[in-house]
Formats: sequence, C-alpha cells, structure tokens
Amino acid sequence: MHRKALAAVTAASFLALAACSSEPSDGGGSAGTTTISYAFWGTTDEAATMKAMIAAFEKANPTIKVEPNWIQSDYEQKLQTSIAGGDAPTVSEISDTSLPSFANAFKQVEVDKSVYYSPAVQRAGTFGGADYAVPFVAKSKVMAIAKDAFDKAGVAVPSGATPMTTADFVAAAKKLTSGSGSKKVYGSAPLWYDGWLIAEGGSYYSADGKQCTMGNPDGIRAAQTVVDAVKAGGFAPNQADAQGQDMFQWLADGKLAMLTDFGPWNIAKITALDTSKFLLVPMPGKGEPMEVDSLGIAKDASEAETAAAKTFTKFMSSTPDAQNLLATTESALGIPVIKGSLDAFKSIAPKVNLQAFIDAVTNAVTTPAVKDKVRIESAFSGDLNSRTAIGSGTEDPAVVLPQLQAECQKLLDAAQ
Amino acid sequence: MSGIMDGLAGFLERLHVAEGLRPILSLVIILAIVFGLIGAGLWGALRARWISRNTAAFWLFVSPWIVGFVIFTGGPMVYSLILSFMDWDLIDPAKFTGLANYKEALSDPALGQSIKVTLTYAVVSVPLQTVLSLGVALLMNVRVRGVNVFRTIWYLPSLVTGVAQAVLFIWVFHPSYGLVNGLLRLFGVDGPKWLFDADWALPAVILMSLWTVGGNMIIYLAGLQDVPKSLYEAAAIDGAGRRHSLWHITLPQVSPVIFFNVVTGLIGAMQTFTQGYVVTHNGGGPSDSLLFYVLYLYQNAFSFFQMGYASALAWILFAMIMVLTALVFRGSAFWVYYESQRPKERRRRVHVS
Repeated sequence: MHRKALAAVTAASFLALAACSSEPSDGGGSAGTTTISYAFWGTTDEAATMKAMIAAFEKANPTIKVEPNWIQSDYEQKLQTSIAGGDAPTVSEISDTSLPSFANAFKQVEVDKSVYYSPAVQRAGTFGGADYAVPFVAKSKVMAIAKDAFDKAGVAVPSGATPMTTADFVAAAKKLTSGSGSKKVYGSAPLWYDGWLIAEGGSYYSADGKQCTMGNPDGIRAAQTVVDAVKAGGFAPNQADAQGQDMFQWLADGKLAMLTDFGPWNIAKITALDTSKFLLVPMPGKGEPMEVDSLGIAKDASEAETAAAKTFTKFMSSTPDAQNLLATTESALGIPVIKGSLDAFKSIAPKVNLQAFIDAVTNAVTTPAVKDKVRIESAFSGDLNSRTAIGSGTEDPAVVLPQLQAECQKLLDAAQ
Repeated sequence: MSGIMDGLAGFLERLHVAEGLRPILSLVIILAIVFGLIGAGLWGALRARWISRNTAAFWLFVSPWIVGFVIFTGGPMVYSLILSFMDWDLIDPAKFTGLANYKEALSDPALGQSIKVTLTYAVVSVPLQTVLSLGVALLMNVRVRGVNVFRTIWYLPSLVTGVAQAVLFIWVFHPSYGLVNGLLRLFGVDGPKWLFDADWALPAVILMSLWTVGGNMIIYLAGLQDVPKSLYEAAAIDGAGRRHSLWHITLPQVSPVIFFNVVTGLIGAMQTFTQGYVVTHNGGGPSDSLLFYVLYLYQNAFSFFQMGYASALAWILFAMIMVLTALVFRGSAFWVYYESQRPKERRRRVHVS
C-alpha cells in the first residue's frame, strides 16, 4: 500500500516536471485563432465603449480573440504588479504621462504618424527617441459656459474658436459672480493649478525635460490666480464648499457660469441637457495639459501574439470603425485622433461646439516626458498645497515656488 | 513558480481541461506533489525509525500550516528583506544597492512626518479606545432590562469599518455640509474644516477610531463576566464601595484583557492605512497631516514604484513595532495581574534583566 502511494507521488512529480518542460502556449486558442489580452481602465461607460471597440475588431478580424482586462481602479499599480509577476497583458493602455515608467516593459513599435492630425498625438507614444506605444485616443480639455449667466451679467459670450486671455477670463469670472448663500452664482469652478500653469504659459519642466520651471513668473502668476479665485469674495467656490460636489451639476443647475477642466467624459452628460443653453469654448490662454492614451505591446509577447497585437493596435488607432466608437451620446472615452472620424464626433452634439475639443487636440501644449514624474510632482504638489493657500497654507506663492523649484530640480537631477 | 504554473497550465490545455479550471487545478497538483513528498519523507523516516509515529503525525498535521506560512508569509518576508537592499521599480531588473535604502530613510523628511503622525495617532487613540470601550463594557455589564439591545447598538458600528467607515466620516466631518458642523452651527459655533485642515485632520481621524469601540467592548464584557462574584461579596462584607471594588477587584481582574487589547490596538494603530488613504484620495489630510507610516510605504511601493525603499520601510516598521510591543510587555509586569503568577517575582525579573 505504502509502495503504491510512493509510486503515485513519484509519477505525479514526473508528470509535473514533464508539464514544466513542455512548450509554452503561444497565445493559440482553437485552431487558427490567436488570443491576446488587453488591459485598460475607465468607468463602466468607458469600459462599455472599449468593449464595443473590441467587438468591432473581432468582427473585422475573426482569427484574433481579444480578452478584455478592465482594471477599474489603481490601474498603474495593478499593471506594474502583473508585469513584475510575469503575467503582463499582451496589449496595455498607457497614458503619455505614464509611458516613461512603463516603456521598458513594452516592445518598440512602428507608428504611422501620418494618420494623426495633431503633432501632440504623434509624439505621445515616444520616449527617449523611440516609439513604445501607438496613440489611439486624445483627452483634451475645454471650458463649458452657461450662456444665460453671460446674458444676465451683460458679459459677451466668449468665442468658440479663439481662446480668451487669462486676464479676460478673470475679469469675466468676477463680473459673472453674484448673489449669496444658496442663491450664489460663481463665475467659475475652482482652478486647477497644474492646468492654469499651462494656461498662463508656464510649465513644470523646460522643453528638454532637464530643468524644473514652475517657479518662473508664469508659475507664480498662475498660483496667485488660483489662490485669488477661492479667497473670500473670489469668483470660485473654495475647497471646502466644492469638496464632494459635482461641478458639472452646478453648471447644469445655474450655480456656475464657467466650468473649466471640461473633459471628454462630460460630453455624454451635456448632450442630455438642453444643448442650446451651453457652449464649449477653448480653455483660456494656452489651454490645459492634454492626456493622450496609447497602446503598448508586452515585451514578452510571443511572435503570434505580437503579430495579433500589432493588428489590434493598428485597428484601434487608425480605422474609422474603431475611432467612430470613441464618443457617442452614451459615453465618450475621448477625442478621435484621425481626421476621418472628426465629423462623426462633432455630430454627437452639433449645438455645443465640439470643434473646441478638436482644436484643443490640434493645439495642445505637450510637456516633456520625465522619469520619476509621479514622485517629483507628488512632492511638489504636497508642499505647494501645505504651504500656500492653493491648499491649506498661508505663505506667499512668490516666495514658495522658487524654493519648490529648487527642490524639484534636486529630484529631477537624481532621477536623470 | 510562474514557469511551473504556466507549464502545468499548458499540460492541462493539452488534456482539454476547461480554461477556467487550469490555474486552480495547477495549484492543486503542485500542492498534491508537495504534500505527497512530505508524506513520503515522513513515511521513510518512520520506516527507518528516525522518528516516532507521534512525531510523524505531528509533522503531518502541522504541515498545511507550515506550507501555507512558507509560501504566503515567510517566503514574501524573506523576499522583501532581500529587496530592501535593492533598487527595483518592478519593470527594470533589480540592482543591489547595499544599505542605501536604509540610509535614505534616515534623511527622509516625509518618513519623519509619517512616524510622527503614526505615533501621535497610536499614543492618543489607543488609550482613548481603551478607556471608552472599558467604560461602555462596565455599563453594559449592569443587569438591567433590555441591556442586550444596548449591547447590540454599541456593537453595530463595528460592522461598518475600513473604507465604508472612512467615506461615511468624510461626510460627517464635511466642513460645509457635514453633520458635525451642522450640529455646531445650531449652537452658534463655526466648526473647523476637520479633515481638510492640517491641525484638525488627525484629531478627526482619532475621533473616527472611537466609532469601532464596540469590538473591544465585547472582549471586555467577556472579561468582566469572568470576574468571580465571591470577590465582590467579600469586598462588600469588608465595607468596600463601588469605587473601591472597581479599583481593587475589577481592574486587576480584567488587566490581562486590557493588556491584550492595548497590545493588539497598538500594533493595529501602527499599521493604520485605510483612513489616511481614503481621506487623502478625497482631497483631505493637507500638509501630510494624515501621512501614516503604512500609507507612505504604500506610496513608495505603488505610486513611486520604489519597491526596494518600500521594503526597507516595511522592515523598519517591523522593528519599531517589535520594540514598542516589547516595551509594553516589559511594562505589563507592573500593572497586569495574573492569578497564576506572583507579581513581585515578575517585577523583580524585569529589574534584574
């Protein structure tokens, strides 16, 4: 009996060793089909959009099966962990700001840049002079305005094509602010420092990514505007009042005249309102930072998987069949990156000037890719918030920002 | 390990096993082989008379725990110790950097802030929780009609913990729309910004921690009901009042329970994460006022992708908890009463060593 048990254990061990030495699976499913996995993030609606794009791809390419891996939260953490665990998705969605941290996990790819109408999109998958990901969706920002509020305050409605200057924006926001208590109407939503920095012509880093520059006069002016907007008698709700509140709903309810940082995720919501009452216009000044999401192919993907992944990334990034699905009245993942899909995009809500989103993609200011970006900007942002009235501090931004710029430079030098 | 799992999955694929079953079946096969080898080894040792049947049975029955510990606890601990001497971002190969991570910790101002926040929280919240939960347990130990309803009411909040509790309290402490400031306004008091104010964020989280005193209350209640009634009767005959009975009978008798709750509470407080994570992700905790140690460790691991430094921080925390726990254990000789031990001897042992 014991000998039999011992023999069974030995047999099982050999079985396992035989299995370990067997050829690894090459992404092959049933005969002639290649299976690849695709990791992406997003809300329920955005995931539905992505799944619709996958379904369109599988319909056009019946020999390739795409397993969706929808990561609802902490996307980068989970992606990085799966890469470290040797279980990287064949294709991963990655933002241009995160690409420097993940480039070494991806294969170099050939990107046909002629399909993109925006120079910023063309550069989004590039790091260190090489292409590691294929751009497929742009997430530009515009500003939504409530026309009624402008009419009531006697302020001219801004142009849908030409950006206001930042000074004009501040002046308009002050005039649009009225009332008190529950009847209060704010001229603008709170301003986001990182965004306003770009609007004022500033930047976190120099064009070559080697110098921190947020302490320059542009950065100081941006900080001062953000602080002034929320101080007593300012034109935007302060942090405590805005906490947990949906600013889009404030715009819809007439409590806000201008909603800055209006991203593509709000498109479906605005189409549900009376669109004749709202207008999308460019962000003031030089606009706001734009996120471009691309598709990276895992370094350890097999030959068959790589070929299938290349077909998939090409379909997602350059065919109207996929790009037309990026934004609908139900959900908008972002702005199409090819010209052929722009008319379909604008037709979703013809009255609100979706062209502003396209212009923002075309004219987007791009920031250089920097290693350790998350750590550097997290330290900067924490200090800025704790020391100045952008957060809970009281110090003068003109004093604080040059000091923080010096700290930033130390971290940047260490990272390089 | 991943290679073995992949190999087994490939093998099962050839056997046409359903795709969803392959990972779990691979794990089952590996575990079967491991336990088979353990069983075979023990059987061989038994046959060779190296060990007795009792010893073999002991190792056989304890082996699931040992295997689980080695795979899921001991293994990762050793791995993290090795990582603490490396620089690793999870994607590029790890590089050996010696003691660099530990040296960096010595001069890291954010780490100093996280230790300050964590220790303050532990030192204030643990005694507060202890006093409140013991006080409530004393009240709930009174024999009155419907006391079970009150016990249930006090225990119920303990069911809402973690993220749900943090989200709930973000609204309770909301400066403009929250319940607390709403109540204060009724009395003409303009409340602070609580979680959104650097000076008030930590006190607010300490108040939050009192929400779950019901769990400890149950343990104290069990301890209180274990105190022999004869002691109270004897004290009453000697003329002791309630205050004296509490001080000289109840507290010494439940001191082992207090000791247990203080030790576990202290360890738990040092590992606080959820409150800081949820509140800071919702715009609260300015000026690193809620930068708990484990939150900072998590940020280094999963936001800054500095796995080596995060591992070093984990080992520093381990050392800190060990020291604090040892201090509490040493100090217990002066205030924890065990019927089976002589207090003077225990105190003497502390002084001698």
